[in-house]
Amino acid sequence: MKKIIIALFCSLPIFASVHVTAAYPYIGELVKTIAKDKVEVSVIAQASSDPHFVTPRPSYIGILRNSDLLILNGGDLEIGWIPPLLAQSNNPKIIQGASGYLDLSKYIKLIDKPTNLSRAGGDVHGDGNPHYSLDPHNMLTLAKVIMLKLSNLDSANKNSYHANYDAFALHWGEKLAQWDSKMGSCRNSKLVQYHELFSYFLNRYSISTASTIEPLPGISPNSKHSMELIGLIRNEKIKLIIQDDYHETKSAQFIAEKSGAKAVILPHDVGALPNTASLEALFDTIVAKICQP
Amino acid sequence: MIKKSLLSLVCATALFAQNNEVEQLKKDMAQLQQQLSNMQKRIQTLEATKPVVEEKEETLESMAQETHSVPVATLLPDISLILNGGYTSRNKSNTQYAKKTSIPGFVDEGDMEIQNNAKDGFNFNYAEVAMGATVDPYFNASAIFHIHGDGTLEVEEAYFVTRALDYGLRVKAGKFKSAFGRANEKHHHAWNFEDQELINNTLFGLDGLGGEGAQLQWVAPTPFYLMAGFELFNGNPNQGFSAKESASTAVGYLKTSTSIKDLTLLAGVSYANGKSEIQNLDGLGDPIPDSFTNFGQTNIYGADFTLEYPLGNQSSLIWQNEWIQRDMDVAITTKKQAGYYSELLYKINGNWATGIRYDDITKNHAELSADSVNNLHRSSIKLDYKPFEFSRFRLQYNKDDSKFIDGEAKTINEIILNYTLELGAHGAHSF
Repeated sequence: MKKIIIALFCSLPIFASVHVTAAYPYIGELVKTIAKDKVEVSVIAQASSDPHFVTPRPSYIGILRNSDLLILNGGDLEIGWIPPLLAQSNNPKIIQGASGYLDLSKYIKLIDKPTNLSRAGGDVHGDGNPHYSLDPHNMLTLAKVIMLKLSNLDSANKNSYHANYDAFALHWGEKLAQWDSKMGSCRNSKLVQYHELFSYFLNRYSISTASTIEPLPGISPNSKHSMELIGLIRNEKIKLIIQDDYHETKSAQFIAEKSGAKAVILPHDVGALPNTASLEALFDTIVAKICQP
Repeated sequence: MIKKSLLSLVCATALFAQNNEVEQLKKDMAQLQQQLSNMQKRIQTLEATKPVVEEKEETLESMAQETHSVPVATLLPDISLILNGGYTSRNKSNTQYAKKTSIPGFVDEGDMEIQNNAKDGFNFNYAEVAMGATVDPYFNASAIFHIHGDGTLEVEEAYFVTRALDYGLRVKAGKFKSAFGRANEKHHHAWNFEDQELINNTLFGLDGLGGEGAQLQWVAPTPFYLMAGFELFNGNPNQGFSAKESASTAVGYLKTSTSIKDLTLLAGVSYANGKSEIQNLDGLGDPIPDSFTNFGQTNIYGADFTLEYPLGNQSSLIWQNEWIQRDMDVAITTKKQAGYYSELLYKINGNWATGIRYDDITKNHAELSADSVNNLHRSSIKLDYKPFEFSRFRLQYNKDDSKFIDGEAKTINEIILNYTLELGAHGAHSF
């Protein structure tokens, strides 16, 4: 009996699994891929919501309070909602600078860094465009960073994290080759985006963004700008308008009808649209919708 | 990690010793030693065959993208400036409203504090200057100042909070607003409506419950949000407490929140206790200056609940309710007063929001006996337009049946147009 009690007492604090909180669904998927059942994962933002404007519900404070590791997209994407949650969760393990605070944007070279920071330009992020997770090639880096971080925090399962990463890297490499070849025919085309959300994906495949439906980042569309866009699309013979699932679709529909381009809704995160429940399915869908043979 | 390994070792030893399995342990040790020497040999062979160009193993440090050097300016506190003002139209003249208004049982004629949107006409309410930063690994600190149109400067809040305490604890000290209830802690520009909720205003005054004090909050390690807090403040007569005894106002609260599918519930109960005083009256019934009777207790009870239901991106429905009761027992004066507000807010999208509010004083047993004092209430409706995240225009209409003018119950109709502009490093608002 004594032995059992000692064993129980000893096992509780030592072998309790690591609690990981992911800011967005795609981060949660990466953690599940690397850690499998070795950690408990909670995801805060819902796939259906604008990643810039997550409601800082107090119920999330309870999740953060019990976390050993918080993984953020970074690049100021969470600036509108994570600071008050973090401040109220009273958990020194995951505050900025602690070992349980992981900002993934630090491991990616961000594009479109503004040379002049003024809110006259709308909602610009000082570090550059934060939507790097939509380039499938970045997933390998992100997966490796998460693998290394988990290995540091939970060295007992280090081998397992490494093995899972290797398996993922092998499989993802094959998928990247498939996507790269499928996108081949669409290189050097032009399109219009709602917000500069898919810029990393488009950059990867040399597709340029002729303009955005938003007159400035974060500013709602207006009719003057939409009329200009219609002219631009006609002049430059642009065929495609892409947008996310969370903004209104009326503007894109209107511009598409008047200009003859096709408006397409793309998933911006895992689970944002039907049949995008995994990282693989997310990029399968994006590739299929942007590059239709 | 070392601690954990040591602990495991101690535990393991304890377990084995219990069973007198020392023999087994010895065998294991011998096996381990064998393995160790095997590994040493393997390392030696590996080192001998090591390629000349060493492949660097990637670490988190080596994977980080180089960023240009951080300017020292980032060590300056985050600074923000908020401008707030507008235009008010009211069916009572400025003199009547400022000098002759009273709320029976709560505010005497001439004592009415109105700071925001006060005048019939243009109002510049304040320029708020807020600064905040991480002090060192252990503390964050912030200060919020209001510079009013008449040139007066007010320290709204100035406090530090701990950032590295364990066990879900956090301490705050300085001058700050109490987290009593739901509405009290928020600043004017973060309020759901232009004016303070009636029950909060009548019990705690314009600045709400708070002041110089200290706070301890604990977030419980539960799967849902559960927070307990305790605060101690100097008593403040504007909030119904006596300033004579040091740090005599105590506040405690329990808050919980959970999300069931899309629906979020936030609920709390609050309690405040402190010493109160009343002004002594002369034979004619007039107050004697600087003469107080001070041996009473005030107990304040609060309960609040908020439901939030998302309707789409940046669109939601929020129903917020709060009830507060005050039992004041000072000498011959006993006051039993209670009221509530109920607000229904509809965020239409990132640009537009609207809402309605009903304020009601449900209980007002003070020394006065007029029948009408039990029937103080106000109805409000508002429309917010935000061209962008950092600017907001608000139009609000109040039908205010909570005030007396020249001793008579009067309906005050007011229309308030207000602007709030947020410049600089503006922090995100909490729920």
